[in-house]
Amino acid sequence: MLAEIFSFKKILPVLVFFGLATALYFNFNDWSTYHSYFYNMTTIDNFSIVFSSLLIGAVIMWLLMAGSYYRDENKITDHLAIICFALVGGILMTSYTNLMMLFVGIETISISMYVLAASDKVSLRSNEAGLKYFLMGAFATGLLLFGIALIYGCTASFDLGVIAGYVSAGNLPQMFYVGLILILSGMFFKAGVIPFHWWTPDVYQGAPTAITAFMATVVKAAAFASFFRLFQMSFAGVAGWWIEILIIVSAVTMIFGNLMAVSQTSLKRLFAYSSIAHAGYMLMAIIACNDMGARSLILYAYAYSAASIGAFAFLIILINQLQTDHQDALKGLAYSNPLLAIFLAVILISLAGIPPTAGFFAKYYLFTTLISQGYVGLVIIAVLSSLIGVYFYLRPIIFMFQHSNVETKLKISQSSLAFFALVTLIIVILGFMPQLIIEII
Amino acid sequence: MDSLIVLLIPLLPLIGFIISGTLNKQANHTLINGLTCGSVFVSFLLSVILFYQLQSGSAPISYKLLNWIYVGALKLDLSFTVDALSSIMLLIITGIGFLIHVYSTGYMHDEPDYARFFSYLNLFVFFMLLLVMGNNFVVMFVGWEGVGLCSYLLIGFWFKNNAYNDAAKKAFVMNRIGDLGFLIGMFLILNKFGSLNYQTVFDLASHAATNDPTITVICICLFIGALGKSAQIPLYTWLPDAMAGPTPVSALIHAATMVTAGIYMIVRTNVLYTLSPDAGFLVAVMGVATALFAATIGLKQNDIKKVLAYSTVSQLGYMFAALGVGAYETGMFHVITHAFFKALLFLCAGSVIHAMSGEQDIRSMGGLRKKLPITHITFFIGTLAISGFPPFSGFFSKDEILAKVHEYNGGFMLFTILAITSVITAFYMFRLYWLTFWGNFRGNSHQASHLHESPKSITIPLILLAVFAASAGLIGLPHLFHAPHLLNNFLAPVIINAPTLEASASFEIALIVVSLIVLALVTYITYQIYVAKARIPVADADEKGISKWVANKYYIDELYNALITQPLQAVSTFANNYIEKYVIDGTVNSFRWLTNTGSLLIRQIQTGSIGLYIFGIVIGIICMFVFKFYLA
Repeated sequence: MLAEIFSFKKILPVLVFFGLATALYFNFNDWSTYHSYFYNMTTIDNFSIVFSSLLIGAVIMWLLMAGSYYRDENKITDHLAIICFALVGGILMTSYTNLMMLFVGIETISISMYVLAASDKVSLRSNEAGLKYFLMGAFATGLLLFGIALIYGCTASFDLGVIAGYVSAGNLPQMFYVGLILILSGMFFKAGVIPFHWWTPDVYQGAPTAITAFMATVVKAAAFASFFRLFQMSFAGVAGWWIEILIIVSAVTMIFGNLMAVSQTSLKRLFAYSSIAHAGYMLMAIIACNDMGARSLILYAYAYSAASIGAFAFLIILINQLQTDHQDALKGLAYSNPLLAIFLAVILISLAGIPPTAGFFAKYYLFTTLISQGYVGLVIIAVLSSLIGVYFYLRPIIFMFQHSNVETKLKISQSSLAFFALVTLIIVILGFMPQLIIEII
Repeated sequence: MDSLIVLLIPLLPLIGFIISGTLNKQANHTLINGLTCGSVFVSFLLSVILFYQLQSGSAPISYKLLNWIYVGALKLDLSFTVDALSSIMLLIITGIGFLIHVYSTGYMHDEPDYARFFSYLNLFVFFMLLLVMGNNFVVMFVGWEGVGLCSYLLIGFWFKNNAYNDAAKKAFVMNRIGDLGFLIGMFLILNKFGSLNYQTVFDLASHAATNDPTITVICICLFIGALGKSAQIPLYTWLPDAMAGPTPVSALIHAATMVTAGIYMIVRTNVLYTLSPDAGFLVAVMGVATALFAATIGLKQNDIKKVLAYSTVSQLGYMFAALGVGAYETGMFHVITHAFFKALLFLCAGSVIHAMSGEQDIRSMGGLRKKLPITHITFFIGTLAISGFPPFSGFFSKDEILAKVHEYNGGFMLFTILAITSVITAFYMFRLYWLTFWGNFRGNSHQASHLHESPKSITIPLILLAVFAASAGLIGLPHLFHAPHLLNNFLAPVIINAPTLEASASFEIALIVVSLIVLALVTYITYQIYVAKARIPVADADEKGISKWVANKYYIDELYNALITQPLQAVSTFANNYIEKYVIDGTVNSFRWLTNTGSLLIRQIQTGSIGLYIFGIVIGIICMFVFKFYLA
């Protein structure tokens, strides 16, 4: 299945597309089979299949979107190779059963991202973004690795099952908890939650928009899949201990992520902060730490990825044609490009979590999951902070529907419009039928 | 098959509404006529089929459309049931509704918004059918609100006239007050019986104790709903103003059907009212009071439609009086006869107004009998019917009401007032009749040259209604004729445990003789005043003393305005100027300020310096350690 992806590298996007489609097919072929590979270091279960399908699907969507971005660039082959490489890392992150495999996956995806973030060689900001990402990422990797080492020191194993057994035996040494905090720190960094979020706005803004889109969807989803998998499979036994940290971090992330987004006038930066805030919501699924949590995380990741990829696809067009991502550029869009404005409005509404879009039901399902476990206070904070979110997600819509007599008309090809229509369709379908995703596992 | 008919009856007018509602203004009149009149006519035929099946002893026929509201223990279906009571209402609604549709094709002929008018009419018929066909209170409530909406739309049909819009709003608001009572009543029923399904509630109620205080409260709440819809004291003031609507609307909605919804509701819930004699007494007193009060106002009105409007209020009071004493069949009997003769009178008034080029003031009419022979004859039949001349329909129903009230324990006072009221009724009706159709024409020369009998589409419904207004009394002959009381027998399955009130034959004979003498007297006196001496009413401003008071409708509108509207306006002005501005806007804006300021402050820390970022991460990690190892 994985070889499938490699064999098509360095070939045209069309072939990659079909390669990915084949991978998606083989992926579903493994449904409910529970195979283990590499001496039990990865296990394909349904959770990992749903998530790796999301990753592959997101890359397919990304490919459709990035086609126009790369049209007049010659580095597409390199980029596609690295993207596929990153995808492998992502898939490992969704299916690992061994801490070494987790580390390999994280590093595969991270290193690819460092390179891609800096890939716009002539742009100073892109270089800055790559360097910043690399420096801080290296720091976080160190923390993660240190944490893994400490856990290994206690348990003498990297295997998630063995660690879980160790945890359930009880009487854990101090060293174990120290390791747990360090692993948490590493995961927090990858997930981009406060106070480990620092890289997000700068890297998201500096990196080429297509790469930012990739980070916001594939990398984010992979990070949360691995986060969830690790803490559900290994550390559920001491959930009472680490959940407190997660609750605080999640609350802080939701409040401050949304709050910081409010005063952004650059749309790219706005989506960067919005991704921080959404990370806060997805942390709530890890707090739930059960099957319902897994389902709500999956639904949330699907909804968020779909909306983000649409939003960034729009930004690519905007930046390409107007050389700006300031929100003022949206003024009058509803009159010059009505269809596009409607699609973008649906995307933003989904991000804000307003029915009948996927974003609403993702939040709704997540909140009911948390309430059923008694985390009412956290849900109240989440609801209040998403109110702040509504404020800044609706602002671009208001700008679009303001009549400011702008002559600028974005040139949108039929295929891009079809792409936006597809994204909108996914959002609306998931909004009306969230059970498509929820009931899958 | 039968259940399909049950579904089709309300569905057809709905389809008519949807199609004609989407047509544009230029749409062909023939098409609209066929669609809207046709749908109601087919509904009427289907209703007749159902009526005959029920007549031949069939059980009530039901159709369940869908599981509607299933929440917890509450299970409500959107389903229809046609029993004897609904069947009668169906015949009235679709039968008279059809005649009025036909009438409207002539009356509204020059109306530019022809399609809109007919779509509203069809929508009204649909909601009214929903109201009487539902098998639970919630379906009735939906219909109840729906007819209120249509009433609003049709009163304000000529929305370019602001006074008409005000009348529409007034009707809507007054009805809302009543609707609140209905809603509370429904909640109490749900609380008490755990269901809103008629069958379940009535089964449970028939085993309940008499004088249960909760049931009394339920009855009073439902009665408040009826007060609004059926225009009784103190919520009657909207009905005279509702005459702003086109005349067919007044005939259909504000005389024959919608305003009798309150009567229908009480007859439907007769089990509950029988259990609560106190609530029944209240209903009777309010009905009698309204009957007298509205009749006296009718004496001094000079607008042909206003007289009929107050007359409607007064006649509805009669019906409530009958319901209050427990004579539910008699109330329904009067609903039926009143539907015929009042629709007839309104349509005749419309025909007169049509001929008079829109003039409604009877002081400008007179002598119309020569120019409008058909209208004149039919109006005369209507007048005889409402005044209670035997053997016209109003005589039977009204005398039955009087007899039942007389037999009611402690009802002598009520009987006396109702008897006086019936004399007043005859007086204002003959006044109206003489002034309109006899004497000399008092309008201007333009109107005189224009006088003409209305077209066939108007006169044929008048003739048909006149036939029924004359003969409908035969379905409820008094005992002394020793004929079966058809209506009572038909309604018997619906009326449960009601007390029996039978007047003696000698009393009935006395009643007939006395009323004949008094009516003849009234006819003679009014003829003397308004034809022989040609005393034309003076302008309202010239009225003096008590008659000025009456002519101004006892200043009830002014009273409501001073007591309720003005204080409410003052409160809302205050709320708008202060609470809205400072409290609500202030709160919202301070949240906005807080968010924006917080956001600006927090974004400062995102400086771009990696050193600071990593410092931040380290702080974060240290915080976690402190939190877990030192604070825990």
